[in-house]
Amino acid sequence: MMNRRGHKPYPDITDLRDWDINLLKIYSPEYPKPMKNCYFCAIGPCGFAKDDYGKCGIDKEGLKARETLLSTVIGASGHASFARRLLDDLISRYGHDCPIDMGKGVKIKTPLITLICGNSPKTLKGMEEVLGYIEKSLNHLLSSVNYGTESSQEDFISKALHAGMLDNLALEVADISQISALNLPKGRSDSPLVNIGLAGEKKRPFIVIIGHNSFIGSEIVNLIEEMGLDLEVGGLCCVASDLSRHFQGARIIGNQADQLGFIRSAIADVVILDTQCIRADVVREARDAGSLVIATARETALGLKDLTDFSIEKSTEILSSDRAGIILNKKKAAKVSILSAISRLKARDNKTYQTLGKTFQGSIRIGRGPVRDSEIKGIAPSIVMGEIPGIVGIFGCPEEDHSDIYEIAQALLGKGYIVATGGCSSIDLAKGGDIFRDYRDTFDAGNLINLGSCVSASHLLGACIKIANVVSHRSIEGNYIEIADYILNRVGATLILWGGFTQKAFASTLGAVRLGIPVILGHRGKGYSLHLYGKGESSVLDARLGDRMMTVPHPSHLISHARNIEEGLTLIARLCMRHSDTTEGRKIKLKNYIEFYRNATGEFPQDIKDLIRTKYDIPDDMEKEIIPLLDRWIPGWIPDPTLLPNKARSRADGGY
Amino acid sequence: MGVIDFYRDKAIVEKAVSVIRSIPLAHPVKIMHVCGTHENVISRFGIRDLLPKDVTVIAGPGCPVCVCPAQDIELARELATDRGVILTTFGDMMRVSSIKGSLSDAKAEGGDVRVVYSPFDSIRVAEENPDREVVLFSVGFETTACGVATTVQSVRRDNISFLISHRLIPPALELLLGVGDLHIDGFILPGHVTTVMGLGEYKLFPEAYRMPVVSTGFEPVDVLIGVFMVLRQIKEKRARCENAYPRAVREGGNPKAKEAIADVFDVVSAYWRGIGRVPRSGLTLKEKYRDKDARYRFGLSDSEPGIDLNPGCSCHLIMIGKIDPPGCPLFNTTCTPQTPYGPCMVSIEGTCNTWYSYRKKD
Repeated sequence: MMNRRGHKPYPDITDLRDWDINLLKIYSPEYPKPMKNCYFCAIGPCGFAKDDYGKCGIDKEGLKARETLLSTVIGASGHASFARRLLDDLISRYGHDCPIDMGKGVKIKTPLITLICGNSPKTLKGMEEVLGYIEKSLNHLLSSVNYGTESSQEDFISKALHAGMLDNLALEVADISQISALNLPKGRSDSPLVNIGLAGEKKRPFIVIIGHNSFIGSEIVNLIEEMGLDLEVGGLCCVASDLSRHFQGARIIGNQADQLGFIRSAIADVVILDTQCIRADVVREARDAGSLVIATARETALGLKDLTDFSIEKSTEILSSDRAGIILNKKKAAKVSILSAISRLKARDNKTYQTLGKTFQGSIRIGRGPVRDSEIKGIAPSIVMGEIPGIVGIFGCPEEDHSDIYEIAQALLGKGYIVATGGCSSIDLAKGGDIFRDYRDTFDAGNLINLGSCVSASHLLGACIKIANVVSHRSIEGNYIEIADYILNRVGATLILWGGFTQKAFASTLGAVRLGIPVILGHRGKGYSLHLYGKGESSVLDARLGDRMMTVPHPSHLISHARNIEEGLTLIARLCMRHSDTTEGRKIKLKNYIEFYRNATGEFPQDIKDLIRTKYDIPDDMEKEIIPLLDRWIPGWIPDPTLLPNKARSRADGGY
Repeated sequence: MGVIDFYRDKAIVEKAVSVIRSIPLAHPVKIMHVCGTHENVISRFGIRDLLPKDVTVIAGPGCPVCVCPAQDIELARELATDRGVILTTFGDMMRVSSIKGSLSDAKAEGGDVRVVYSPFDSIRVAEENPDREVVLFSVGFETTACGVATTVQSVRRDNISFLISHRLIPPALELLLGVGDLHIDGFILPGHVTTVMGLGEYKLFPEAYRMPVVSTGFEPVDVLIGVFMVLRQIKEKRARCENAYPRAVREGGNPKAKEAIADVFDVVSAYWRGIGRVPRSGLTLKEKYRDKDARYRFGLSDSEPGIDLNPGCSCHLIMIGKIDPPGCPLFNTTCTPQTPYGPCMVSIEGTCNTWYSYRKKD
């Protein structure tokens, strides 16, 4: 429902559809995954290689877009479910009235929640209302996939974008709830550096946690302290990042990519499983290595026996014999893991950490959480004017070869981009060397920021929302479309998801895209179900003059993929361009683009005349090379850009 | 009739207004000036009331005191209170506050803060106090910067240095065009700044942004001619960079002043109070004058920009022309020139101060 300012808090699944249609006028959907047959219902199967329509009447585009919606809802439900479990855990320990506290330096505490829901929860109870909205909406979206429900390509994509937006919202609910309740860092710069990887001789019982919810880690750490014991606790994947945010003694062993190697090293006495990003063979491999496994999430039961209702002693005894089991009560799981780890170590030989197949050592800054308002105020004009060439978020799943994103980050930092990272990607960066030690972590040009785990990606989107708010002074409460329009046209931010990412990352991608932030998928990007490429010629409204300006789209694509580092860097430089760049800003961005392009191809980019609006955009030291390319070039102008007719003067009331 | 009399002559003003009213406009027009002196003339002579109702003149970030960031004031305070220097500055700067207080507060706390009327007065203070360090805390746009530049060039004494907080006009105009939602139709350029810098750097605005710009003087007739020339461009649908102040402004500006600025200063990105860091919008002393740079001489380090406006203060919105002073709920209630809450109420160049003086009943 629209409120009196025209804003739409808690939008229903088609309330933001007009905005999505606006995007689809500029960006064409492409579906890289082949889909020749449909086995979705019992009327089929239908072969789309020969026929244009399925037996249900759906066309090829609708079929592929439906797959996109399904993938996105699956992904969004992953983050929403995680947020729900975490919130339930936090409420069980801290109560409904636990205040949302983001520290003194953060005035807009919940940018995504405020933007989408029109309010800002004061307590964990308020977060439940937001989660209820997410869950209800995901239910409706999933229902649209049913036979005989939605069939239009545009509406499937719009609904997928809605699911993506809900995914982003769930990320923020999760991280802000845990930051507030567990007192995680609240946007501080100079975040402490901690070592990652393993080194030295193992002397203490070792409990390792794999998954996302660090609450179990927090229970274990608290209990170890309470009992005065000397145990080692570490994590793989996002749980490691989050655990280190409230307990610096926790080891960040590695990320998803290191799971198998670590388990096979047999260093862990007990492996605790939470949920998501867990290898399907983890129980078998751990058993083979002699480690015990405790699964703690209902979503990841893995065919194991449920020990939750047994006593601690009995659970420990069964675990010792079965070598794996489920314990859903996290306090009990913590106690059993500690007792089991102690008894396991006694029975086993000492090991050195070097037994881990592929060893690495590096340092990482612990996740700092949100970007402070003072940082935003400092850089916001420089971003909108283009002096800072862009904000680049490096997120997503890890790769065996982690050097790609390390090289990408180094190249971007060297050219003054703000690079923000989190989750497995931040661990991949740390594996490459001392990059976190080499760069400051204030949110400013040429700095590298670790926001936290995957859910902390929400803070990057939050930073873009805050930039729009600070510069334009547009209100953000329930004002999704106007803020997304502002970000799309003026805030030069780009996300890069390099690894072979999951449905969750895909859902996050679509949420970022709806907010006006383009996403580059890495070399595995073709394995995902939707790309959105800019149409060759497009137009944007000049709000001030009331004119429609014919131009190429900026950003040039919303979802694209890069086959290698060089292509990725070239795309980033191009995708950070915005219609509102000042002449000095465009010069900087063009220069970066030309240099990355040359590095990738050895040639000068031939599309340069599409990117030069007036002679003032030409980089000072490149005039000789560029001017000959401007044959038949028609100068344009720098618009006051918007896609929204209501933000532009109409020809009747003005124009130029 | 003297020169000034002509530009204030009632009959000529009436004629100018009648010409302006005769221009057919297809739509309401919003013209922005970026100069405290322009705001003063416009308010004092009631020029807004003379214009057609479809023509609005709004104030932009034209007060150097207002845009001076709080952290620079804190550095100046630190010099005065903790480092034992004689801090000289222009009178308007005394009452502008930072989170720790104003320079007046620093003086009350025992700091030696002195008001000067010219940068050269600081040299005199240094001569009279050979055993003390003297620092000129200098704010202002290009007009002030050229005077300070020549002062820096001419200083021969070792006991004087400069805390520079100068800002440049063109980058601020570009920012205003990038902010969005302002819908400005033309800029009236400050005639004193263009007297120094010329018109060259303003051609960007018509050529890249389709934005009419007119360099304008400071008497009522000057302002009306400036407004007329902007409206004429809008009517003709052709943006140009024009000069309505030919008795002072030359196309190339004042070469000697420009040379002095270029010799003494580098252009850097700089913070504007309430607005943030604006690319290439500030000046800093060049390497060769580093011994005269108080930041280096005293090892001052810039703090992260913290709270630069008090809660509830709308000066940032007034400075970018989003609202007029009466649009701020504190205007003429909590915030008055006697008890200024925000920087725009402090200086006589500040929009709120001017509106309070001439338009508080509006």
